[in-house]
Amino acid sequence: MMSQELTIAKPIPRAKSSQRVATLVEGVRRNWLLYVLILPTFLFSIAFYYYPMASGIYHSFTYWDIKRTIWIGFENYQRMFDDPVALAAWRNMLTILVSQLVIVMTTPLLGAALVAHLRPGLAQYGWRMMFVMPIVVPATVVVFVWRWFYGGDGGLNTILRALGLGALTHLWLGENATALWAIIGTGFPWVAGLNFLIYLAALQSIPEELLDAARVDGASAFRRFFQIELPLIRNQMMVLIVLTFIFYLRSFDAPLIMTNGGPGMAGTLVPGLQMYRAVRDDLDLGYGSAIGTVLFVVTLGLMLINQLISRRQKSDA
Amino acid sequence: MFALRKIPIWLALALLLMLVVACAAPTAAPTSAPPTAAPAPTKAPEATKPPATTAPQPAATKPPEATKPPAPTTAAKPAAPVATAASRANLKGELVMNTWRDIGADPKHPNYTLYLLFQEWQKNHPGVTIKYQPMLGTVVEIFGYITTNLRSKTLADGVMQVFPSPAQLDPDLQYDFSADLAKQNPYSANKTWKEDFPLSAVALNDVTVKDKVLMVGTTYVGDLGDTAILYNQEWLDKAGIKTLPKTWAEFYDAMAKLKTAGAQPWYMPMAGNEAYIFTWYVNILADQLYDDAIKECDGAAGDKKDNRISQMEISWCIKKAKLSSKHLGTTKLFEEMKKWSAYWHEGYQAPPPAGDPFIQGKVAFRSIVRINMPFVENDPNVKFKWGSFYLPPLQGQARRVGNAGAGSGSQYMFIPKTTQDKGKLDLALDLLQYVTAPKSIEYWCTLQTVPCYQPGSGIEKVFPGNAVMQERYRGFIEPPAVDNRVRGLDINNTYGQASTTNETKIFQDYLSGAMTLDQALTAYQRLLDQLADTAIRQHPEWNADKW
Repeated sequence: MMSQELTIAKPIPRAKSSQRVATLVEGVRRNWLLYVLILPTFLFSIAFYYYPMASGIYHSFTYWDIKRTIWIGFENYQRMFDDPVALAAWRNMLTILVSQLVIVMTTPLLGAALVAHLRPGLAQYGWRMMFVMPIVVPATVVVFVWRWFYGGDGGLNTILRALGLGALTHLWLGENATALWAIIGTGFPWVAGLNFLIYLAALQSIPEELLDAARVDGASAFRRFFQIELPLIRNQMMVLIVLTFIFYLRSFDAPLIMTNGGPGMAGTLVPGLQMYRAVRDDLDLGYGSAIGTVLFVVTLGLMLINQLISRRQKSDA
Repeated sequence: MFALRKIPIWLALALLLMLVVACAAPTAAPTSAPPTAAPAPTKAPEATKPPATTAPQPAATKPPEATKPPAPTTAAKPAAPVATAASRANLKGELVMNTWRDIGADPKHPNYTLYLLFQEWQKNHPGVTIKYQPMLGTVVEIFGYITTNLRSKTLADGVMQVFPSPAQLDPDLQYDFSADLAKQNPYSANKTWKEDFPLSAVALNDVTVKDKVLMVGTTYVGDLGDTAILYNQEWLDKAGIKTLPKTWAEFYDAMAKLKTAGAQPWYMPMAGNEAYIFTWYVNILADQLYDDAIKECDGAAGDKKDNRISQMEISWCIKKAKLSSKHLGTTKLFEEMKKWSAYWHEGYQAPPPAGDPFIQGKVAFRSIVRINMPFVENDPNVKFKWGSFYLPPLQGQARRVGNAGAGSGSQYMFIPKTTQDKGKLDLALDLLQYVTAPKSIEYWCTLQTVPCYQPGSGIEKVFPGNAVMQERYRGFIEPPAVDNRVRGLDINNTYGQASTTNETKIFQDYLSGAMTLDQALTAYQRLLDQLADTAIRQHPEWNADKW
């Protein structure tokens, strides 16, 4: 029988620093091969990720045009926050983020739910393949195709004219009212791709017994989806939401290729593109670094929030 | 469990090697790293067989009068001048040239002659190899490439570009030719190299900074950077337009008639690869509207009064509010563009679809730079009758303006100082002296669609008895001009093509109604201030605090 005495674990005394160093050295000595193997990756990461990152943060406090670097303190940041174009770019990005959030939580989930509920067999395999296959098309190619689609004589207007809806035609990428939404609409119906695959894997991992029990209890398909399946794939949804945020905070390929941030000064401008243009067009690398640093801080903040939520969920569980 | 310590050493080394290779493979660029648009080095093109030697060698060193119709570019070509200069007969090594796109790709393009000259020079220097590194992309991207790599000291040994931008001239980073220009060119009989450049070396004016000549050009046939307006005769006929417009009012009248006839009167892309067309017309109108400010700013801040505005002069001008959003010319510029935009092609704010709408017969008028004329001339789809005319003056007298000015072929070359550091200066200098020697220029002239002529000549003298060519090139030759470079009190000419992206976007917002005139002018002033402040920061030697 176990002792009923209450025992309080004594804290393990901390090793002295000399002991810790000795342990570390011993660890390195014993696993030297492991350290050697990881060394190239470590060095390349420093050279191509951490050094540019640190350099970017430093240069955000300077005027930098490659030829000369002048320390100017917070001037670049002040300029960014005073610049109505920069504010419009952040506003555009917020619109894109919210829209993408809605997109990522709806159509790929719907597609995955429909495919998951097909009877396993050729039909399910066929649909799954159909939704996964588009992953092989490079994102840039997709953007170019859609740029043509939105053109004056492009696919969308051609379809509208064919349907007798010529009055609805627009220069989708050339008008302020439509350009941003046209960019958001790229890839419609947004079912295919990695999001679909993650949702499908999550839905297929739900034990069949749970759903069977619900069926026996008379739960409708609608209720089963919202009250059983959706809560059980919550973690995957969170992952996708965070990934979507991180991706669209940095992404500017569609605005660059389709509109170069236009029409006008900020029709579809996003901070990433503004950073790119400051660096490429204006050779104002300090200002570009400042925009990049703010993007970095925002992304880091989002990741920390995500981690906090995850921890809280784990502790609640 | 995997026992790491039992791995044989050869396996560990192999794994290590694989890791190194994997890591060295291209990876996603870090977000904070400045992106660059470096084109991949291309293989040096095969040496082109030198042109046939049967044609007579032009002997005169003066620009010849145009007395014959243009030789078709596909005809047997005359021989290029021999490229062995006694002074540097034993040159050896490899010379890498950055070129404005691939100059060896299209035998019908004016730049191709330069390529032939390069090849001829190489042929006569057996110890030398030229490699080409074309700079690709849009005009803005190429200028961005040059400036970025010049500052990063990563340009090739020599750089060939069309019309230079004053914004990219940098005596700290580019070789100064002035000492060489004062000596004899080994490929010429003239006493000094400078004498090889006709019309008192007018072509060098635009590339001289404080008496330092930072580029040299190849030729003097008008200005390949000149623009004119192409017209589609079929549309003019449909609209009942009998004569080409000669005044601004007639120009508007013609566009109104064309619009009524169902044409898109004017092609004016504000986005995409040809957005520079819009920029160029901002420059042309600004040159007329800021006449008073130009006169006041030219020669300011201790700079030379030379009928062209330098970056220092425009910065002074902005700081002294001579050029500002409050200047009447600025308001007029915005308003005129808005009025004019009623006649621009559909969707002028969006990137244009593939293809040329003029060639497709969709628009009646199209602005074109002379260097791009072969694209229209040689297109088999152009079945209609067409010609060119020059834009009537908005106010005052018609004044033809060019990118680099009459007397320049708009094909400039410079040597980065890094070439000197690499010990290749002799190579690069020899090549440039060869291609700018009188005989090379004569050779160049014989291969152009437009034969060389004295700036100021009438079209009948350039193309005597050739009505078709007279109509096609009239807009580039008349009104005649000498030293006609746009004076440059504008963002494009003084702060560089890249800065004009921001200017165009302000215009876009105003023209689309997203901004009122006041808002647009405020944004324009902000841009001017920012550009001037940046330039002043870049040039402490200006002592702007004492202005």
